[in-house]
Amino acid sequence: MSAPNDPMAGVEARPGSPKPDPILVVDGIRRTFGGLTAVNVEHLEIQRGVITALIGPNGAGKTTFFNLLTGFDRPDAGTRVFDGRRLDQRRPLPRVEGGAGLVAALAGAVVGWAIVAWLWLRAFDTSAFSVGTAAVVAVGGLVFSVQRARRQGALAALGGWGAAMVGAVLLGLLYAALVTPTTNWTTVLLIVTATLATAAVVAGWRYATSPPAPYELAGTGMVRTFQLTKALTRLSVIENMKLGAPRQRGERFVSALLSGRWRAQERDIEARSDALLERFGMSHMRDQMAGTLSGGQRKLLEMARSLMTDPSVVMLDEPMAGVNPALTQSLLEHVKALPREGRTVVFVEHDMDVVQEISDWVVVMAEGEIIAEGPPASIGRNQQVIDAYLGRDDDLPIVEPSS
Amino acid sequence: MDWSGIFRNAMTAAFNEGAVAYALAALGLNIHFGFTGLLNFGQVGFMAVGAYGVAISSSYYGWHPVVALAVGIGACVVLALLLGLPALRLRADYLAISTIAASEMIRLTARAAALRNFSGGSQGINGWAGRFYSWSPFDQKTRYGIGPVKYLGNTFWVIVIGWLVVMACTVGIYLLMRSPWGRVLKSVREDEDAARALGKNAYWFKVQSLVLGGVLGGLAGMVLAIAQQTAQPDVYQPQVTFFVWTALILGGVGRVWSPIVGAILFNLLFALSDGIVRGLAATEALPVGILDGVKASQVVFMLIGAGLALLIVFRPQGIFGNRNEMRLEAN
Repeated sequence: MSAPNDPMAGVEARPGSPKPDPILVVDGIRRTFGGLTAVNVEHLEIQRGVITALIGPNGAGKTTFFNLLTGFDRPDAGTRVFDGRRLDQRRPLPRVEGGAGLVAALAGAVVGWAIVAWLWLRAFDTSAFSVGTAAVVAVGGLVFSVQRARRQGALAALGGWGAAMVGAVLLGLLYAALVTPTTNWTTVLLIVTATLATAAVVAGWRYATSPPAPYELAGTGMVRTFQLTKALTRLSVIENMKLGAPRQRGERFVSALLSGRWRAQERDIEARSDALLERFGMSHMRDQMAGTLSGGQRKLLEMARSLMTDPSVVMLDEPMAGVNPALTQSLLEHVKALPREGRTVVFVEHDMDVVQEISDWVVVMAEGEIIAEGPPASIGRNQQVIDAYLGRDDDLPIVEPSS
Repeated sequence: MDWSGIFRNAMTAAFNEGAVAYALAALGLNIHFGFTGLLNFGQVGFMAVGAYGVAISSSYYGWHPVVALAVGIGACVVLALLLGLPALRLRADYLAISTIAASEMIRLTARAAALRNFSGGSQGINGWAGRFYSWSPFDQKTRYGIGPVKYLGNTFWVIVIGWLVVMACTVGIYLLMRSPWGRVLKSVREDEDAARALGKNAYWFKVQSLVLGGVLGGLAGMVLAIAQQTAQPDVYQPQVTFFVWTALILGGVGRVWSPIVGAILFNLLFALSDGIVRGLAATEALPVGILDGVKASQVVFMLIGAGLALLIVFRPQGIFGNRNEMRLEAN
């Protein structure tokens, strides 16, 4: 694999080593399930335009890490940068978190609730019932905010505050309509407007600073396949392919009814689908239901379908699992062809022969951490990798020492 | 027994306003279940909201029929959003639970005594649909129809409009399902995560599907309410949802035209068995006490239940379904 222009030539073989042109960079990623830390990766860079294998013994956290990289799971902490874009939030707004953010959010909540209570008293009367209700709403809302802040962080507290305010105002409107004889409707209108505005700002901020949903990542050039192949069984092979095309005009409800708006695009998509099917040797199955394909053919279909999104990074979760030997070679050739079209490949794999044959770089995980990185030829000689796969001889002897 | 009478009644029932309503509701359910894989066990809730939306707008507010129809549709959209926005983020079964609960909440709220002035309580709202018939070209005193199957003028007017609406909706669904939009819907039915990985907002498509199918359910309720000039809470019992499911399965799930055939056939078989059982009860051929008039209606429900069980055992794909395609689901 060591061609003269190999981008991996000068890269150090150690965990977290810098790459000349990384497309995917993760920092301080941690994911816990209850008390178990499934993934704890300090730093990792994935080189653009090469095939990187992610290996490790069972339970090393490969699939969890893979889900974090593809946005199908959210980390408890850490940042992911894909091609210069942060995957942790949609817009580069400051995030309301940490100690200072928490204090600011709680202060905002206190002031906000005080304003709501004061407006409430202005809008309605000053009977004991009204004052009592205002106090209950204010204190209850504050307790709710603090609760959310302690459990889910400052931003959640603000979101919870907005939601609780909407609820309080609805309650107030009901009260105004049913109970209070002297309602100052101007002030009620003011409360409603202020509440809706606050709720909209908080909701917008939360949206902008929350991680994008998995489906949004496909639009940025990252596509993934699944360990358990997800062929869409009751759609034909060609429909499976056509689904993968991005930005389809006919996917909007109104345009869907007017076939003139999407017919031309559909023809292009169909031509691209047929070309890809041809390349993957599946043209003869074009009109079959995907559910009638064998396991290996489904893997091929899933890979071909993912290429319809024209991805810059293809993430393959165990692409060879359950594929018979006859198809394995064909599948490997297709994976090897991807860097030649400028695509980056990251794949999780168990089979060391496969890893040796197609990967340019190997990342080894064990117990949630990255323990080694290096070219495939030498990674098998790394003592830590051998220990991780076979167990350390000082705590668990595999073979009884012969005397 | 009066066999010709029984057949004539059955044929009349197969195309009356009830059949129109079942066809519309089953078309909606087919969008939910057949094309998107959503489990809606509260289609009758949408029917009730459509019916009461029209009835309350016409009686309590006295609005123009066109406005009343728009209110009925709008209310169904709101109900679908209320149900779908939270429940469609979760697993499929949560939607099933919340829809069946919501449909009962709607019925019980409508029949609440406290709201008698507004929604009519357990009596329902009666005699408000006169203005819907002002454009009717048919004379109320004449019977219209083909052969022995005849309806009174007003009913015939609603039935004609109703079947035209069914046809229009079916053509619309046909166009939608062969478009890229329908393709995404079907991909969500097959595997949501695969659709997401390919950049499709599965959640949003499920919301759209729930709204569209719910509006069709609402149209069903409106047809029923206008034809019978009444919105009665106890018409919208939970079992209606399951009759609609039966009609859908009978026709074949996931086919564009099959819910219509399913609805017609369901109404035909229902009326036929009802006529036969009642006929048997009247002839007193059976020993006294086994089958009298009151028990006869219960027996019909038992027959329908047994029929559904047999259908699912021997022809789960329905009349127009493809069994081989159905088997692929298991993979």
